[in-house]
This record gives sequence, structure tokens and C-alpha cells, in this order.
Amino acid sequence: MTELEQTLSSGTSNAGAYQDYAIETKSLTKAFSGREAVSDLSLRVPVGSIFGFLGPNGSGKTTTIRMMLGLVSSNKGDITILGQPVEQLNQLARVGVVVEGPGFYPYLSGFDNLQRFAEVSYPAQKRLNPETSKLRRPDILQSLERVGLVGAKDKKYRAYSLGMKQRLSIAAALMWPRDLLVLDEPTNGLDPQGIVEVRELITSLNQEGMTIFVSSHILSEVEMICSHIAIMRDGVLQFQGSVEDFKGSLSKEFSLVTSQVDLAKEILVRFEFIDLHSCKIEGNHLTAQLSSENIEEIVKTLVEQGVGIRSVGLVEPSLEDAFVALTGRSSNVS
Amino acid sequence: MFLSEIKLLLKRRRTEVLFILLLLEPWLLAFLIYQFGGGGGQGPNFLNLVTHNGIFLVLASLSSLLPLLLPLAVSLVSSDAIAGEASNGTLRYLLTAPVSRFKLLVHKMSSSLVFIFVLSVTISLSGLVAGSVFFPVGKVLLLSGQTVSFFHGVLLVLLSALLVGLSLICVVAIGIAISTFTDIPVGATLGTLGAIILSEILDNITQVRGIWPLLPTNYWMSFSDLFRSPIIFSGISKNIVNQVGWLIFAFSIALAKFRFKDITS
Ligand SMILES: Nc1ncnc2c1ncn2[C@@H]1O[C@H](COP(=O)(O)OP(=O)(O)OP(=O)(O)O)[C@@H](O)[C@H]1O
Ligand SMILES: [Mg+2]
Repeated sequence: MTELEQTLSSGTSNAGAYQDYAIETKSLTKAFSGREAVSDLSLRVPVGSIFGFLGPNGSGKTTTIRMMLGLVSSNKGDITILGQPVEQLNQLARVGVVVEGPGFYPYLSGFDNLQRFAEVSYPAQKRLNPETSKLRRPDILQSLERVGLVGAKDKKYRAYSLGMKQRLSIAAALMWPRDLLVLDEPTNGLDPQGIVEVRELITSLNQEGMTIFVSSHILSEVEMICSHIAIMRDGVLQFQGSVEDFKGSLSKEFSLVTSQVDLAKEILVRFEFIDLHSCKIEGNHLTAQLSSENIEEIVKTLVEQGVGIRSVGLVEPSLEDAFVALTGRSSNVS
Repeated sequence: MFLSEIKLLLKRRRTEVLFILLLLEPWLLAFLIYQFGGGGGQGPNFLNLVTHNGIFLVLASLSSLLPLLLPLAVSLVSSDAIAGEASNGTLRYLLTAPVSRFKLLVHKMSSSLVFIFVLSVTISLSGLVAGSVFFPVGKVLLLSGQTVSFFHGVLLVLLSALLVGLSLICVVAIGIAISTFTDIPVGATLGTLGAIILSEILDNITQVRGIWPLLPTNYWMSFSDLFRSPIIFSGISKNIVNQVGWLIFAFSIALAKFRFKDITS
């Protein structure tokens, strides 16, 4: 075990009185000038999970995270972080955060920036660990190493690339022993290797005992590492639970291959067999969510209306399709 | 946290440049007076005293910097307090570090207060050196006609540096208050400087004489009363009360605004 890993796991041992959920929100609601950005959100993030918080642009992810961290007040609802109400400031000393991208002093080097945040958070860490013998100095170099930034530590932050800035913000979240990491789109701006590295980092931190709450637009990016997910759309929770539950909850998709794909679509919609919004056409392949389970009836109708069928059946939808179906296909944000 | 604020301030190139420019001002002034003489002018005219005694260069520098350049330098620092952190995106990381909002304001305020006193004292020291390089120094002739020893004079000069620092408290307080209302540092700086200039303008309009005692700049030149024997304390003590009043008032506004503000920067 490296020293950092020891400090990290020692953070877990002094966890307070919470057993089931690292984060719990109840009926959380936030409106910005009358428009609800988050509506009646009740989230439960199990201790020890990697929790993917998913949703398209403007679906309320960052707003939720800001409320969880006490940056933004809620209009309604409660938040419990590590067993305590979020208003108890000291709790946050046990939470490493990346919110809406990096934020550092452009005129300081990467190392000096971490030094600054180490100094600033020292009093809170000390309140958490009144016995100073238990309180280790934050290992700035080691957290820089973990994100592969040691070589650039003396460069001014303003000279960092977007990916380097993002890495620095992850390093800052890892400076102290943490029980919980809240990461808002931590892979934004990273190169493909960087994305893989962050994914591996998240997995290994989780194995050391940290609960990780990570937001993303892209299901496939977090699907392979998350144990749980929640899906948001327009501030409303669409699903929450384990990844297996999500897969199990999906209804099979209707799949049809025909050369008269437009005619087939028109008929299927006219007879109300399928939902127009879920219908997707690629070449001569049509997929859609069925409104009726009676596939025999559908085939009969199609043939009667003169549609030639090359193949037809029910298939497992891809997770990505299911995600898009839940969050809406339109990329219009308002 | 307080030391961290001071370090942050000192590590910034802009602060260093400000310091150097302001420390050079007495030298520039000394050179100009040396070349062209003190000339006339109104108010406590230290300029034409400088050629007789270099010690007055300090006062000439302070009173020429006080109306505009010192408030500009101080408002650059104080109005950066919250607005600057917001625009860097560091505010959300400070608050989740976590630092309480109240303490953040207190530390920002106290580091800015240290800044103004360090600034006014170092300008005075620079002026003292420049004055003794360019001009003869010796016994000091007070404005009220008596003569005191050189060391007595130096003491009075340093006291006036402290009083000038004290006069800048309102710039710190107003700057921090305004900086809680915006995420744009330049806007906060201009707002602060605007408020000070407005106060200086109102201070010259006799129709609003009634509010003069409340203006933050009204007693700014009272430090020259030190150079009378006996010292006239009424202006000086009113200045102290005025500055502390502004500090309390502006800090309350800053706290009221910042306490529950949604941090969306
Ligand atoms: N400060 C604000 N003032 C007004 N509206 C806001 C503010 N911040 C967010 N919103 C609105 O709240 C909604 C949710 O925004 P939020 O930033 O939480 O979305 P998000 O899921 O994080 O999106 P993205 O994936 O783009 O980061 C949006 O409609 C946005 O316009
Ligand atoms: Mg966001």
C-alpha cells in the first residue's frame, strides 16, 4: 500500500453514522427565475457504489450537484451527505469534488494551485481529525502523479491544455482522504487515453472504499464502470437503480427489414402498432418500441397492405438506444 | 487561510507591478520638484515645503496619490475578493474545500486591510529615502510655525502613513461589498472606483453639505493636522469613526448578499 492509499483508506474508517446511502436527496426542487431546473428529485446513492448520473445538456445534473455541495440553495427538499445534512459544512472535508470543470488561479503553477487549496482546506481537515497525529499533510506530488501531471507541475495554469486542467481538478479532489467523490463530467476535454485512465482511476479508488458519484452525458462512457445509474431528463428523474435493473427493465424492440421501409413505417404508425418517437430507420432496417405485443397481427397487416418482408422479430435494444429513448432524441436544449 | 490569502496576493504579478509603480511615484515627484520647483497650489501645500525639507516629500506623495491612484490600486485588490474568485471558477472550490462563507469574507477583508497599510507605509519609506536623496533634511517646520526635531518629524510622517492607510479602509469595504454582487472583476473595480470618485465630487458640492460628514472621503486630508502643534484631533478622530462605520456597514451588506447567494459561477 502506498502512503496515499493508506491515507485514503484511513478516511473511510472514520466514517460517521451512515450505513446505506452516501448521498440521499428527498423531493429536491430548484427553480431558476420560475423555471424548474430540478423537480422533486429523490436520489439514493448506495455506499460503495460507482453511481452514474446521466442526462443530456440542461437536464439538471450540475444544478443537482451544486445543491448537494451547498453551493446553490434548494427551493424544496432535503439532502443528506455521508449521514449528515449538507448544511454541516465539515462534512464536505470528506468529499472530493469536481464541479462543472476545473477552476484554478491562472497566474499560479499547477503545484502552487494545489498548495493553495491544501492550505485553504487544512482547517476543515483538522476539525475532522482533531488528533493531529491522524492528520497527514496532503500529498500534492502523489496526487499529481496519479493524474499524470508531475511533468507539468511548475507550468503556469494558464498555459495548461484543457485536458491538463481537467486532470489538475481531479488531482485536487484526491489531495485528502475522502469517503466520497462527486465528479461532474470529469472526462470532459480528455483525450481517449485520458478517458481510459480516469475510468481506471475511478475503479481503483472505488476498490479502496470510496463511493463515487459521476455525471456524464454518455451512457457508454460510464456503463462499464458503474454499478448504479440515474437518468435525468428536463430536471425529472427517469430511472434510478442498478445497471442490471436498468437492462432488465427494457422492453424488447421490434425489428423489421424491408425494401419498402417508409411505407411500412406509415402503416405501423397508422395502425398504432408503434410509437412514432421511438421509430428509427437505417437503410432498409426499421426498429421501434412496440405499443402492441401481437407480432402476428402486425405481420398480417403489413402483408395485407402490400409490404414485402425480408425479416422480422423482437430484439434486445442497445443500452444507448434505451438511454436515448428515455432522455429524448431531440438535441434541442431550452 | 489568512496567510494563504496574503501569499495569493503577493504571488500575483499585478500586485507586484502596482507596488513598484506606487513606490516609484515619490521618486518621480522628487525629480519634478527638483527640476521645476514646488510652485503654488491650494490645500495643505506640501509641494513647496519639499525643497526646504525632504521629509515633506512623503506628505506630498501621499496627498497626490490619495485622491485617485491609491483608491485605484486598492480597489483592484479589494473588488477582486469575491468577483475574482468567481471569475476564476475558484469560488466553488473554496466553498467546498470547505471554507465557510463568513470566514472567506473575513479573510478577504483582513488581507486587503493588511495590503493598504503595507502599501501606505512602504510608499512613505520610499518617499523618505527619495526626499533625503534629492533635498536637504533636518529640523521640521510645522504648518503652525513651530520647529520640531528631525526624528519627531519622521515619527509624524509615519503616523500620517498609517492615517492614509486608515483612510483607505472604505475602499476595501466598498470593494468587497460590490464584489459580492457580480462575477465580473472589472465591473466591481470600476464600481468601487466610481463610488469613491462620486464621494469626492459630492464633497465639493456645497448644496449637499448636509451629507458631507457621511462621505467616506470627507476627512481624507485630516492627516495633515498632525503637522500642527498642538495636533488638531477632531478631523482625525472623525475620520477613524467614519472609516470604521463604512467598514461595518459595507461588511454587513457583503455578508447579507453573500451568505445565501447561489454560487453558479
Ligand atoms: N444560474 C442559472 N440561472 C438560470 N438558469 C440556470 C442557471 N443554471 C442552470 N440553469 C438552467 O437549469 C437547467 C439545468 O442546468 P444544468 O447546468 O444543471 O444542466 P446539466 O445537466 O449540468 O447540463 P450539461 O450537461 O450541459 O452540463 C438548464 O435549463 C439551465 O438553463
Ligand atoms: Mg453540467
